[in-house]
Amino acid sequence: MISLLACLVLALAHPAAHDTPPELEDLARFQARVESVLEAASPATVGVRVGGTSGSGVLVSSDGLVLTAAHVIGGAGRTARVFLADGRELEAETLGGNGMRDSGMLRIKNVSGLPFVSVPAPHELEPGSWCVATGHPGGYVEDRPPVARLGRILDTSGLFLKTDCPVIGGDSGGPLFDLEGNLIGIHSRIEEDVASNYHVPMTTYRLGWKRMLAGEEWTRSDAKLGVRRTVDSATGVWIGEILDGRSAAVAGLRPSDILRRINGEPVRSLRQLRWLLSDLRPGDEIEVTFLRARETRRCALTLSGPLAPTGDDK
Amino acid sequence: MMRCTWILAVLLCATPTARAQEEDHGRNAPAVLRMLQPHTAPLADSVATVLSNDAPVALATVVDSKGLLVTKASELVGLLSCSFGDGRTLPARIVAQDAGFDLALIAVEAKDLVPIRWDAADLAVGRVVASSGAAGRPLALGIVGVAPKTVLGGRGRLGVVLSFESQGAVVARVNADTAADAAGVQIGDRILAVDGVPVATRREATDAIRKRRAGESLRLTLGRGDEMVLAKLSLGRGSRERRARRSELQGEQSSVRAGFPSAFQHDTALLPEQCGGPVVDLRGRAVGLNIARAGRVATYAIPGSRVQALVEGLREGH
Repeated sequence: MISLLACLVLALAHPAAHDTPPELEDLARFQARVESVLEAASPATVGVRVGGTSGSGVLVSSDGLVLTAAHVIGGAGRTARVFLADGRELEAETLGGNGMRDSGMLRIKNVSGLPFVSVPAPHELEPGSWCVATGHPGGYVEDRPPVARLGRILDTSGLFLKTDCPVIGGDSGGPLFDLEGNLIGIHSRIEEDVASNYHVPMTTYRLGWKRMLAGEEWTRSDAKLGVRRTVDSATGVWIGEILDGRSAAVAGLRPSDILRRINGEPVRSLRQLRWLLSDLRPGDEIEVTFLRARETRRCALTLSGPLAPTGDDK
Repeated sequence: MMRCTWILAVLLCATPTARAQEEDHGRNAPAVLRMLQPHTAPLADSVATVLSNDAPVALATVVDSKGLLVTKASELVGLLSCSFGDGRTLPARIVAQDAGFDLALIAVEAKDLVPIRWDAADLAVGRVVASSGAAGRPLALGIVGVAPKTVLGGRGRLGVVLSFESQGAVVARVNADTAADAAGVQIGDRILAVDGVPVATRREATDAIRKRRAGESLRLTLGRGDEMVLAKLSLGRGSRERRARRSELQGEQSSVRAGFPSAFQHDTALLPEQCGGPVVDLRGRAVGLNIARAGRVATYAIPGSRVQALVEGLREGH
């Protein structure tokens, strides 16, 4: 991703018209990467129909596990039809999801050997990175393979990933990839501006995976770290106060530690921390990465529940 | 209270800079367009702006140095002219049209234009393309989302209202600027047959026409007074008022945006008046001609090889 940006910048630095201009070489490489992403992405992209709702989804296992948006499945235990890129129509059952983050799952019944993409490990996404979307705009249409689109990441700080990769009704639940071929989001919602498209980040699927598989539906969480007086910073969330006897204190965190990651998912603001915690439950054990005196450290932490009377801790 | 303050703070300090930053990071950021420039610049003398009563309605692409260009037919109304990159604006007239592809051949008085060379490149999904604006200015970047195929039209519309007072199919109104209007259908005409198949009632006539798609041609046998008149027409998309050009999420769309025998879909965000210009690939080859903006995620383009064949056909037929 970063390397591609570097290419673009480099190319701009050499506007001279040689026989084979450097920008052409880079654009050719860009082209090859887009095509190689789609080679894996398109066969794994599916159309989804649940009741009267039409959406999209992406296969993440050969035995029919599909990631989609919560608003496409509309709850667990419902019957769904899934339309594969090769034209097959299969029966599926909706599983669980986080309604607030719009993440959901479904499973195709009695199937094996399907094409799929893997869910990548947590990694940083940079604004300006290119991305590729597939899905079924307007709903699944027979004889029309998943439709490909291009865009760039505009904002990574919100509840949703914002891109200018244009999607519309029917694309909901479909996948977004970076140019390395990593699945980085699931289409969720749009604004009128064609450059305002929002995608569910993969963090919610990674953190809520087991709960979704188990058919659990949720929108919020009582899970707390037991910290207070935090300040967002470029490196992470600075902790002002550690509450006595709560999970952060038990795990050995101290005031002035800077929280950087939860289970490997980057945390840059208190808002992001809350969104990440929404997929976890009190009692869950997580790995916290933090900065203490410029040194990166890790510790295991068991999440607390709500503080009884006036709990405004996080 | 806390929350209100927080939202306000974000609005005050984050919005203007965040906007600017997003534009810099966007797919059509100035830096990206500068990269595309070398690929569209060679088309500088081959792409003109079509003006209808002095307002831009489409782009046109030069196909013959002696003053022939192709453009989007349905946008051509009123007094036409073409404005070129060298500053000339020349009166234009329609030479021939292809209703299915919504393509028109237009002519201007010029002997020194630079024709485009169409390319029959393979248009696989994922192919990166750039759309050229007037004078070879790159408009935007996109990728092929759907390979060339038939883009089915919506239901074909005749553009008449049939009388409710009569058992038979009697024309009570002819809407302006519709297929019926163009074919000279008149108030009081009785529709006796559709494509030679007799229709006895209003219902039979509507059923026969409703089955047809926009762009398809049709023969109507009409009773006019004591005469029998045969009208050949190409079904349209309804009267202008009927076509919503804009819906909130779809954005501005071309009035005619379906019914093409072959087109590929790409995701370049164009305005309807930016159709009619060439699409180039990353080797600068003209692989298509933008023919319609069809909503938020889709622009349709006719493959280069088809444009070439169509232009040859239109020139011969003329």
